[in-house]
Amino acid sequence: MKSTDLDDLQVNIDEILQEYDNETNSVSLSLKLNISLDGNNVSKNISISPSKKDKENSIVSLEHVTKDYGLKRGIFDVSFDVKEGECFGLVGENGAGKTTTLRHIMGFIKPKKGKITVAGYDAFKQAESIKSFVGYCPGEINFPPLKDGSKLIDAKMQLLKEDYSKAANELIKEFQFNIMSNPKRMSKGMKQKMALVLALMHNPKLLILDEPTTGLDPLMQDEIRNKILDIKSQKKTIIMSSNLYDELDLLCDRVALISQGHIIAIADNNAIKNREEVDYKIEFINRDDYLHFKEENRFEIIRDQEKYSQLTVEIKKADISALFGVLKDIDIKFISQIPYTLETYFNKVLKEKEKKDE
Amino acid sequence: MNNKKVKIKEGKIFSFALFKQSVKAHKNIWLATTFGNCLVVAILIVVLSSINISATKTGLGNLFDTAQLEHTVKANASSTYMGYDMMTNSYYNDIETLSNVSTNVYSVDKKILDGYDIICNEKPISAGKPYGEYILDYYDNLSTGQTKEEKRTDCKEFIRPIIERAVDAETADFFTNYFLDPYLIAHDPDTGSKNNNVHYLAKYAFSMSIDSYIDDAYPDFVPYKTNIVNMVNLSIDAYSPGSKGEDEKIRISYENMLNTILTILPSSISTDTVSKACNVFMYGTDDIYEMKNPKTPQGQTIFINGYIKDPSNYKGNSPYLKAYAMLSISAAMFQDNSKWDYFPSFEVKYVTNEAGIPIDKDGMALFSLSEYPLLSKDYVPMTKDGKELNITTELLARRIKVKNNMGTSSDNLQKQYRALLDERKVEQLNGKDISEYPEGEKNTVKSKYIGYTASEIRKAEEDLNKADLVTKSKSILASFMKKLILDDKDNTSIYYDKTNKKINKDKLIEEVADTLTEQATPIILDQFEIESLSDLTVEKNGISGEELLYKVKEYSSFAISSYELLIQRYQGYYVDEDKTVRKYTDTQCQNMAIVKSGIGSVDMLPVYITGNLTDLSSINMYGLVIGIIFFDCAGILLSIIYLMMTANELIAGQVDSGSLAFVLSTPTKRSKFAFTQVIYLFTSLLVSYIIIFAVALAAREMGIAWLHSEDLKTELSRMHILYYSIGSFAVSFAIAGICLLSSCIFNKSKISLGIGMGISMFFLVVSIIGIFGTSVMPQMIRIDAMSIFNYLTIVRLFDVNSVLTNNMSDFWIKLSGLFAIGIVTTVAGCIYFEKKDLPL
Repeated sequence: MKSTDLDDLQVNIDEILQEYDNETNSVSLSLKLNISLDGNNVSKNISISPSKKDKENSIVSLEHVTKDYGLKRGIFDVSFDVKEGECFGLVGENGAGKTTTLRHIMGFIKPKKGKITVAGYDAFKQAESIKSFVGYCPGEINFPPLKDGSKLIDAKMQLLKEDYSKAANELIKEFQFNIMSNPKRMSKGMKQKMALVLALMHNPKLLILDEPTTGLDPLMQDEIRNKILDIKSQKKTIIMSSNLYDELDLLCDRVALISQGHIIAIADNNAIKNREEVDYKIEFINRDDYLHFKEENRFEIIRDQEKYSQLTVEIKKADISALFGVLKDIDIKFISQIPYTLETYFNKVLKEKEKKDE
Repeated sequence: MNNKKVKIKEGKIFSFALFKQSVKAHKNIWLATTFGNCLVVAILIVVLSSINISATKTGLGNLFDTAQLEHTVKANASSTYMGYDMMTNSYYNDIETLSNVSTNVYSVDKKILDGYDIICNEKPISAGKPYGEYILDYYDNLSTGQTKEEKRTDCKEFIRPIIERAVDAETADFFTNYFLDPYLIAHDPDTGSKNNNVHYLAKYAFSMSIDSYIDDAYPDFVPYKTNIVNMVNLSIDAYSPGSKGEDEKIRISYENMLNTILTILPSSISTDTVSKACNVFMYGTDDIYEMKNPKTPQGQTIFINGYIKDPSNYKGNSPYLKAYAMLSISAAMFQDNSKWDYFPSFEVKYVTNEAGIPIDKDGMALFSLSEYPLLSKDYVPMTKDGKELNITTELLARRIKVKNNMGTSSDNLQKQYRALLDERKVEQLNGKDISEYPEGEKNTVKSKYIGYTASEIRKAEEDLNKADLVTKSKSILASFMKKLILDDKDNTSIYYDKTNKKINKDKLIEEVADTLTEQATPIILDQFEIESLSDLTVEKNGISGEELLYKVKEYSSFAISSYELLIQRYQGYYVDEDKTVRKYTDTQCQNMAIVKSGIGSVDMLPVYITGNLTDLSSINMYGLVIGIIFFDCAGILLSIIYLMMTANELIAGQVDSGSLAFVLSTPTKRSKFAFTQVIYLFTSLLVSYIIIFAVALAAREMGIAWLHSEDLKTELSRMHILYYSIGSFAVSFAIAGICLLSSCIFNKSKISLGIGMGISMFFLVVSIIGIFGTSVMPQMIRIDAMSIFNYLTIVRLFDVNSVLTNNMSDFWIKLSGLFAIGIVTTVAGCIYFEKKDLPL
């Protein structure tokens, strides 16, 4: 038992109890302390358990959320956490359930099963409480029928009950567009920018973007993406959906693949980027060389296209020179590095799933 | 965009910012509908005030008042004319025959006369001596232990049932109370002196000959005076069948008088004394020659009654007495005819002939007046031998129904035969007042057709007595009588052409007109509720007082000429082809002619139409047009348009277009949003109606001040407008709730609008159809079956009729139902909205 003397104050730890929580994967301690001051004894029990904050810092958490619209549409048993400060992406085909998931987080939809919490608040029941620090850009942008963009901003400020005109002005300058046009007549790009201004002007710490670049021209897309990076650098949390792998690859820390309402996998982008392995595709001129290489099996072959005498190998970065050493004596048609991206990762996962389903 | 500080309005359930946004967004349509409503109500009120609706109503009302006057004047004209005619005729001529003179007056007295007859001339079977002696014997033989008074009472009680069995209670009463007591007292040797017996009678008779003494000393005796006289008259017939000379008749009447009194008095009194006393009593003199022109009322009455019975014996004497006779007859006939006015009328659904009796398909009456002339005392048709006419279903089956239910109101002839014209039946046993029927018939189970129930007859007779028509008619006829007598100069008379021996009918008609004009004035004042005839003006009443009096003259001459024509016509009806047997007696012809000529133009209209016309005159035009058509219908239409579009826009529209995401991306609770929108809708509605109410009030003031519309002041009060506005607001409130509910439930603006619009429009259209079934619509246009539509719509919970009939509690209860609907739907909608999924 440890004890610490602090002049007259004496604290003795009589007992330590450890509890392991299986569900949350955490340990909680309880201590029995004996405190004495000038001979007066006081006994105290203290328990220390991980706070919500300690638990991985997640700002948004979905637990087994199910919403069934019938005919296999909806989302089923969706669970993930979004940590504070990260950019989380949702990718999937059209109709996969991305927008439905985001609507759940915004509190527009109530799940049939499961729980959604945002910063500790229930997303549906306490929806209005989270809105003060959340900015939202919907997938289909429709503004109320006001005269022009500035009226929109005024209206929003009235509803927010505070003056954010300075921030709004800065954003407008940044985006360089004319807000004085009729909101109903704005082009998609202008609408997106307008929506972003409205979403950001109150400096939210969580940003939810539903397909922010869909339908924009490449220049505009770049602009928006740069802005998102900018926001990310301000340590804000972003949840965004898209059906372009490249975009999410560029912007997100983690990406969840949704297909037909199910989360297939959650990919850690950093892990992918920092992958130890590298893939090369080789085409052999001579059939014998091809066969011989295959037989040797010195390197891991992940794909074999016999018809074309092509092989794809996955090797650690350290082994690159070894590979090239083997190949320098062989006549090959080409060798190219297959980039490993999110897409690749997800395809792999999907293929494995297909195999499992069979 | 402004940098200035945005003003904040705090609110947990209400967002002023959102409210302002909604106001801005919908102000155009709100202004348009409010303005539209105001314009319509203002123009409506002003236009209505410029047409003089009450003039139409008063005009219709006047129509009915004048129609009533027309009926009264015509009916009276014919009967008065008949009376004057008969009196003039009998004054200047002799009426040759007056067969079957009037009816009930004599049938009532007949009984008493019969009774007296029996008592005077018969002896009780058990006694074998005259009543008088019989009584005295009994009196003498009573025990001496009793006092004299007790003995007299005992005697009365003994003799009275005997007399009652012979005649009836009334007569028995009279005898025992007025003759028996004094007789017994006089008979008593202790109290009376024998001498008094002799003088007693003379004194008695003498005193009776002077009315005032009689009236003071024996006030109860007065109504029975005539009975003695009538009794005497009847005995004239009984003792002298066939015609005898007048002297002979008078002599006989003495004898009867004598005999009457003598049977009660002891025989020790000389006949002479009694006879002298009788003379004095009856004629005021005992000079037999002067008895032709009697001076006492009794004598005169004897004369008149005798003349009525058989004028042939009274030729040439005392014309004024003859005229008095006619006066009595006329008054009796007048009463006879007019008494039917006091019986309740009914709708005559079967075809009747000229006498008011229903006919069968061959045109034959169900029974003929020549065979069955009388109605019994119970007003039931009787056969000739005094038996009740048996009204069977077979008899009634022969009737023909009037086409198309165009039944008219019964006239005084048809009323007499109501038993044949109405389906009313009476069960004699079950629950019916059995005392209405004589003893013997109580056990016969048959139900019979009645004309009037006993209570109806009683009421009619009460009213008749109150009206005292006999006195009134007698006074009218008597004043004419005076004129007749005063006018009688040797060679000329304005009423009678002595050379040609013809009555001057034109002069009579003029007389009747003058009389009626005089009579009509108080009736007019009463009917129109005015103080003097000059209060009637063309502007107010559509006719001036003077004009109305001219009309009276017109009506009376019209009636009289009808009467003349009808009498001739009826007198020309014969039963057989050889034209020997008349169908109707003169009296019957007179009766029928009086009734038929007295029918006014409005009475000839079918009951269905007159009912509708009276209804039309009571229509409340403002209640109908402003109350129902505007505030309950047209005005609501504009509100509905505003409500269904706006309610949809406020919630479902925002969800559908996605702009709700804009609002919900801020810290705004869903319930705050919904509640704010709801408050906006109801507030805008309330303001709209306040404005409409103000405009309606202003329009009303304008109508009163500028267009001088009196109608507006009375028919459309400020409170009315207030109630209508509140009611209309309540309906809009309910509809707003329904539209809001649909807006909250549905995410698609199309569906929400469709449902909200569908339901509101359905209610509105059904309420429009239902207007035709409301009671504000006059009977003529109203189709009662349509009122079922009023149960299918909530709009009818705003009940204009209860405002008009001042049934305010009903009004508020129904209105609270509307408010309840509005609140429940709104709350339900908000709750649903809060819980549902939003596709944003």
